Amino acid sequence: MAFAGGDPARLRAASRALGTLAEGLTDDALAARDRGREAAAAAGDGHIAQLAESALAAVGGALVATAVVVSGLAQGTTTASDQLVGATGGPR
Amino acid sequence: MSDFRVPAGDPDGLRSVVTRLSRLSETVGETRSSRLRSAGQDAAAGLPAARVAAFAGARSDASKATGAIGLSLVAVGGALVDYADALQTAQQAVRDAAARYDDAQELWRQARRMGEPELTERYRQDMDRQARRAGTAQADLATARQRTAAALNDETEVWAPGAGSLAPVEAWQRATAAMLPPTASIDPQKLKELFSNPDVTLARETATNAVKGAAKSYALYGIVNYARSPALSARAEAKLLKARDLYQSLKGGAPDLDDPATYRKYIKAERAMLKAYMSDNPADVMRAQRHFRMLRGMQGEARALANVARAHPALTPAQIRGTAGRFDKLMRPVRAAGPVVARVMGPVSVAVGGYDIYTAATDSGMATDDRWARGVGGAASVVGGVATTLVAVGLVSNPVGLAVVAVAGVVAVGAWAYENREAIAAGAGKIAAGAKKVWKGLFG
Repeated sequence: MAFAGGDPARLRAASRALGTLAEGLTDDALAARDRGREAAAAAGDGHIAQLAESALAAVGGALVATAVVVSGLAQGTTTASDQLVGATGGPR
Repeated sequence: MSDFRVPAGDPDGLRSVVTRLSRLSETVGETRSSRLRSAGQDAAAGLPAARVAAFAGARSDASKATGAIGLSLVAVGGALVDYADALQTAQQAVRDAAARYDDAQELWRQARRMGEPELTERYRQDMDRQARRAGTAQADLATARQRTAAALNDETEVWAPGAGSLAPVEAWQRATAAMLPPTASIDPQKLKELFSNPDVTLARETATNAVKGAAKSYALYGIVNYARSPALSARAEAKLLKARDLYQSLKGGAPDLDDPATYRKYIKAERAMLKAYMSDNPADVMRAQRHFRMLRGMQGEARALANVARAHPALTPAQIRGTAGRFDKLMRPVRAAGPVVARVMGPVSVAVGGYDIYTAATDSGMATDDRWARGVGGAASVVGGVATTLVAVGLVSNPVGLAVVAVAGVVAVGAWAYENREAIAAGAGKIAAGAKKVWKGLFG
């Protein structure tokens, strides 16, 4: 059912897509972390090993933060959908 | 003294990591970015107006982040390939020089035993030449090592300022914290466990839970970001002054640049000063840029620029636009639609919000905290809808008006008041009080 002030069904679908995307970004963060460890193991030089692992850990941390933002968008979208349905008295 | 030690490391192993980093870069920078765009467009099309501005802002942040992370992975991969090539070249050169040195040494011994002074001298020179070759290979690798270290350090600095010399887990924690306001941060201990956990399935579960938990308090993201820009600017200014003082004290002391240690110190101070200078952005410029970014989504590029220029007459248009980012063009279609959406959806939001307030006031079948939460959400939608409409038609373009949009948008887009009313009841009360004050200040 669609409303003039928004489309709850579309919002729910978008929320699912955003939730899946947040999970994907979380996996990417763990992958960046793992690549950092592998690079450190192959580097040979202690300083380069530490810097490579730190650089990829930092990128991984940024991915975790991005996953938080996208997950926040997913939750906000779900809530907006629920509120729209509640406000208009339509079925959930 | 000759150094025939073959440098440690596995160039092929490094290249294999780079291949996987390249795939990860494509996944994050292209696939994820594209999915975020498409899901975000779907969500924005279904949202009431009060939620659109805050949603578009957060999505824009995430979209820029995925693109920039993709590039960062490419940069790290490039630095590692550079090092892998230099390492392989050095390993081959040192092995080869060591073998030739051994051959020349054997011949030199024989010539000496046979009493052949000319041959002895020739083989000694051969030995010296091979020792120099090994030394040159080691020096070339040291140069590549410095270059790689600087590139890797730069990438760490992008996401986790000041974490280059810290342990990887601290870089991981700092990068997460740097991108999120304190209200949305993940428990540092959980982040540490996540980084240390080798069990991928368990780590994934921990990460998903941590991300969801942190996202619940993400509602204040926009307003906190706006409020903290002067503090960030003050920190950048302090950093610049410190770096400049150090540089000037070195320069004023007529340093002996022929001395390698003094030269390194001087160059380091000069780089630190230039870096601080490049990142310096006075508070009024940061304010103006944030003001511009918030307005342009609702008024369009040209009008937003004109309005902000009126509020900040000392700044040039380039300063106001600022460094919009390498991925700014991706958001152009959304920004182009923003003013139209805001004009149409603002009044709708007022109606929907009004209905929320009405049901909160009249539906005695609802629990008290439900009614309260719905009332706050409804009030925020009304305030946001009115403010969005006023901004869209050009009646409001000052920071007070933007504060209304921010307060309302933050409350409404999150709307975690609705889902998490018990946890945030106290905080939401304060936000509602703030919104009322701004409302009163604006409209009497």
